[in-house]
Amino acid sequence: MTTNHLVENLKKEIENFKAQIKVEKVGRVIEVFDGIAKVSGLSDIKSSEMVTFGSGEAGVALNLEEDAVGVIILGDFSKIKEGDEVKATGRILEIPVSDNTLGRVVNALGSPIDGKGPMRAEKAYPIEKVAPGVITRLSVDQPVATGIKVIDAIIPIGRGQRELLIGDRQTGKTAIAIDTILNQKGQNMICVYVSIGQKDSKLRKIEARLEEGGAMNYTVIVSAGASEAASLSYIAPYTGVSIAEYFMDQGKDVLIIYDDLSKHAVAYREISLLLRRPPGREAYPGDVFYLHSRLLERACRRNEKYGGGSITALPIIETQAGDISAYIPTNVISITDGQIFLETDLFYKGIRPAVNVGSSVSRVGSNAQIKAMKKVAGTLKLDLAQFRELEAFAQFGSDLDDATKRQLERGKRSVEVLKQLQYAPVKTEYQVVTFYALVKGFMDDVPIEKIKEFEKKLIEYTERNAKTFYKEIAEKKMWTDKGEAELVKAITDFKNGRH
Amino acid sequence: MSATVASAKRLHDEEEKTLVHFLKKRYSAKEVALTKILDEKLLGGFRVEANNEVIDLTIKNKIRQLQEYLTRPAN
Repeated sequence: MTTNHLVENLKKEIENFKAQIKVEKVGRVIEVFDGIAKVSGLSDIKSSEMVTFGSGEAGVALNLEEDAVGVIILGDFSKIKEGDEVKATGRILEIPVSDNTLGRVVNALGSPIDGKGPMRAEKAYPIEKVAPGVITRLSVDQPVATGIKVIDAIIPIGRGQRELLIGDRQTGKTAIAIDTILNQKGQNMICVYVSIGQKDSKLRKIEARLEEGGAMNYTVIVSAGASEAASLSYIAPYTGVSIAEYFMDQGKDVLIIYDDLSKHAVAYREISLLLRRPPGREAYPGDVFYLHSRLLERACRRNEKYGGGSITALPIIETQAGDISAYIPTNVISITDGQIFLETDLFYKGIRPAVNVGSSVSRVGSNAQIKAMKKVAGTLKLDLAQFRELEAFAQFGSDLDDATKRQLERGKRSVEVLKQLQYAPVKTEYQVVTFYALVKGFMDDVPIEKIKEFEKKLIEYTERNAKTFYKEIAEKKMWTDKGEAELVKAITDFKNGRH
Repeated sequence: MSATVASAKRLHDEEEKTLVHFLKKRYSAKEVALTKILDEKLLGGFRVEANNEVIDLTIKNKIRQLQEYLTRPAN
């Protein structure tokens, strides 16, 4: 484009412009403190309407009182002073969305903060929206392959599901989330990672990790850092889900991770107390359940008639000393379609990911599992449940009958197989082969410390020698007799060659 | 009632009278106490503030609106 052309274009644009004459509602700041402003005037303002301050900061009117409005300030409130003008915009808070957000790190207001230059917006989406209604939805029946064996087999997640990751600090909650994002490469999935009140160093590490794994091409990171105002932590998850909805509206499948909602609830508690709303249990305000339920209801799978697409949500909750009966954990457990419990004890025993299989559930995910996986995982689940029961017994004596011993040995091997390193997602086909070998007893005579090595080599061998089986799993999601026979032969050959 | 008018240049008596008349009609007020402010930064035009409402007819506001229009998100 030549300079002349640009100037012509600009001239045309300016000619098209008509200045609007309108009456604007304004108020004055009466009081500013801790990120909250009390504003007089603004008599016609709506709840959660966006306002702008004279200094350019945005705010959201949350408390509409008789003679004043309580506004949370989104950003730096040090420049706002008493007597400043406040304008009502008549709109609910909006964020810019576009395909360009992919690969970017944005703040809670949707502006880039990664230093990669400005981002051209295509549309503006309101951050608060009513969740899709019943008739627009479809039941969950497509899998989200997390690449984490224990999850894909025992606590499967489907597209459109809400699965909670819950556990104490340092138990690997974020690690599971990041591994899941890394495994979405080529799975036709857009990922949104919402970081709420996290250390900036941690976010930097995650971004670098995703970049390294080639995952940033399909990922958006929304960040409200620990040093930013509580109001930004409060809106960040809604910003994230609005970005997710933008992609869902194009019929795409989206995975969104809220890391973590405990800090979100704390930020909202801070805002509520400053706005002088009455405190309830654990000093959280009365509407803290609605805070999370309206957010998580926006995760859904839409039917084709309404545009298709889905939003799968993985909220994270951090517990204190394993107390899952605290207020926020129980709330979020009851909202979600299941939870994955991570335990410190297991983590230090070396069982990583430290998933407590007994108390983790997925209420809708089993419909989304592929048939082959369902077949092997059913036996695996049973093996593990029996193992847990027997494990307690076995500590008391050694005179056990053979059947019990066999079950114990099988259980130990199952636990071993489910261990997995971080950043090492496993493809579904490989998982099926491993579990097949495990539940059909091919690993029973392999020493426990050799299990990992056996697994690795078995996969290498079978991929070369049981191609039909792999093809059937990839294409038809289930094996046929022919493929199974080939796999059994390959496993037997492999074992014979090795022992 | 009271109102504030800010302008870049001093208003003529005639202009002021029209303005007061307009305000009286708009807010059904008997008296209007007008506070006048001179602000060169407004560049031109004037801006009235009354009853929690602002009518901004300054050049500065027009330029700001033009800026918003030119940098708006594409549809």
